[in-house]
Amino acid sequence: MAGITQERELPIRNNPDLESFDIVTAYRKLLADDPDLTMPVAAIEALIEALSQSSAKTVFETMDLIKTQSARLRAAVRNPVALTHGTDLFQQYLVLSLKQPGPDGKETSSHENFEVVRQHLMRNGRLFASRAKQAREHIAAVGRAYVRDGDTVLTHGGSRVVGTLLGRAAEPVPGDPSRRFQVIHVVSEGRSAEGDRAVAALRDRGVPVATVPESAAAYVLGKLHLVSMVLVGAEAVTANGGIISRMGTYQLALLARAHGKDFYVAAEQHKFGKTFPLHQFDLGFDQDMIDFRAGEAPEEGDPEDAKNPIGDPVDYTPPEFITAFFSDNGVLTPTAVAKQVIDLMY
Amino acid sequence: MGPPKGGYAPDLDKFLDTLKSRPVDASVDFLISLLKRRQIQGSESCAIATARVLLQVVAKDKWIDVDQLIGRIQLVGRKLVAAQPHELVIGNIVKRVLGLIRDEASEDRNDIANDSPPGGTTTLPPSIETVPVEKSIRPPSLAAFGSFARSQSMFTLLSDPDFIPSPSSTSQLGSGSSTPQRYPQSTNVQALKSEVIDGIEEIVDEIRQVDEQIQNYADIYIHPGDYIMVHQPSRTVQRFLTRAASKRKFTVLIVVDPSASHISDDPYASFRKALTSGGSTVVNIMNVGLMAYMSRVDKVILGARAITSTGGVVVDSGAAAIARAAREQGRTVIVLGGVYKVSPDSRSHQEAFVEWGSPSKYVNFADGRMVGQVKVRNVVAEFVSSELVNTYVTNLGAHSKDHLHGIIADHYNDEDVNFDLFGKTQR
Repeated sequence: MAGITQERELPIRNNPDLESFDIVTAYRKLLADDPDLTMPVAAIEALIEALSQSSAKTVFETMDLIKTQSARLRAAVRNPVALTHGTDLFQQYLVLSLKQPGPDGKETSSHENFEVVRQHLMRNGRLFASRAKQAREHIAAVGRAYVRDGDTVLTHGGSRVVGTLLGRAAEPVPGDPSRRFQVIHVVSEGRSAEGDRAVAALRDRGVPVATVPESAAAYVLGKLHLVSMVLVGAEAVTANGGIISRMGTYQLALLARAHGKDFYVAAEQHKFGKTFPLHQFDLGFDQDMIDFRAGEAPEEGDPEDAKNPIGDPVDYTPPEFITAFFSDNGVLTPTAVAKQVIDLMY
Repeated sequence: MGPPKGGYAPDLDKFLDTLKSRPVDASVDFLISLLKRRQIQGSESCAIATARVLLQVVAKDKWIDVDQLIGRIQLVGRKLVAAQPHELVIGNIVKRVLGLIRDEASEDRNDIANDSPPGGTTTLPPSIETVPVEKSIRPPSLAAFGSFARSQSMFTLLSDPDFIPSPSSTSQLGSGSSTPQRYPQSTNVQALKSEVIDGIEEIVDEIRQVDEQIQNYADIYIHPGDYIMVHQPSRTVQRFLTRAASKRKFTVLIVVDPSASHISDDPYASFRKALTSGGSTVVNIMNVGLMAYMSRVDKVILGARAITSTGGVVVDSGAAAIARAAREQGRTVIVLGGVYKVSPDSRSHQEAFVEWGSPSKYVNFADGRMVGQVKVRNVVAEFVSSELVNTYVTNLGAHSKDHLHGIIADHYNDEDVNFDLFGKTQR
């Protein structure tokens, strides 16, 4: 690091002029504008915007810019896991481009390669968002074979991948007749809005959906021959092949295991990342979910004491509870996911 | 799983004899009917028959480019899988052959790019399975990370939309002979054809050598004084134990099909003789009372009909109960099966692997009242989930279930892994 600090004195612009660009607002705007965008992809898009706003030219400047902007993004949100997976993927892609062999096996300078990749990334900013959506369709195509005629699928939350998968499974495809299946949607009281949307979308397609409260999940799973599989989405996929997903996923996974049901996760590959939680409270940020109280309710104007639980809490489901992932790279076991992350991200 | 009995019906050998003289389509149809009538059965026979008939397709059919050949193989493959959907090895072999064609074709393409004479190419035998280091005709698409072949798909999100760099900004990269076509029209179909045929021959050799290779690991798993339980031992298991018995003394408990008990001749007579001649003890167990024996048993060895990518095993009916009993008492369960039985197919539903067969063993068809009023089902193959299995021993050695996906990545091409051979055939 000493060498780098020395170099700072050379005419390398320490902070390439980003002028008024603020990556956090850009990120929030991207997410708000397009409800179909996932957090990792929004982070990548925001980084690309930052890249095109800046005048960074050299490898060092670019990487430095990406690092500082990523850090700024991370600091601005309470749960940075998913967006970190996006920025890590972006960074890794650029780093690996430096190691690429040149065209036709010729040794070109890594700088040339880097420049090509950088240009490509900046040119194709919008492409990635549409690709991410295509990935969802791809997952739907992979997963539909797993939803069979007469099945009952238990799911929860408002995962867009799961919604797409179930929606496509209900449609006939040439050479594959349409199938009839039903869905049990576990609704959590606090966050029913997104669940309602998913339920309505499925019912519109003619899929019979039953909604049950979270407290009834074990009861429903206990009915013989009813639920054939549990299918959930994920916010982020960890390096060991587990998932970080909306609160309540872990208990569904435990219940599925207890009842001997298969537990599937539908997730795009850009959600894979280096996070490696050892347990529920090792996600790298505090959700303030546990708030012990006794006696009277605390006074209003006492913000120091009051816990501030996170708006959209998540939990961690370890890989041993996951049967398989439906990804845009086919069906992967948790170990296969782990291998993929280790191969590329380290 | 045993060798086909009776000489009157056409079997594998007869089928293989007729291959040369018949036109391809007739051979395919003949094989389909044989598979449907279960006149060719057992994973090894099915695998060999499939490989042989695909070899005929490659050799005799008229095809002008790689895509056409791949399409043809896929079509034939679909038909064969439809004929016997429970035998996963048929799909495995079809996918292996498809992967082989793709490998040879891409090697071919690189040769053209490198301007080396097409005749003098030394192609690696596919069994070595070296990932060809693509001398990147593609610009920085990150597609050239050989061993990461499967993993790099994580970057598909960010990869260049078309591998051809746009001429304006990246003209220095565009000098390669990047062709938009996936597989360029090969200048010598003949060379490709002979390579593919050689490759299929090697797959057949591999299948035939599996038993021999697996038995080399017997010493590692079977120790003197062990109590080994086997279930209706297949030839693979028999040879495995016979090899061990030639050096060590141990006890083998053979669980036999109780319905076979009234048949006077012992199907395992020669196996028994081979074991006892080395001083080992053989005990026959009629299917009941497994738990009682299990406390003495050290290891359970099962022969696989097929192994799924998640580690589940398709076994002869009855073996699942043994696996469960072994797990209940903490005994080791070892599954034997060639690499060709490891299936990239990841259909989840256990029912899909259960095969029902003729119940004539249990109910005589002459018994009119029974036939008329009682529904008798006889399961032929059933599914053992991966939690009940400790180790998989293939011709490449021992594997844990976590690394089966590595075997699949080494032996199958990504494009074929996800190719649904069942497509139209599923209800």
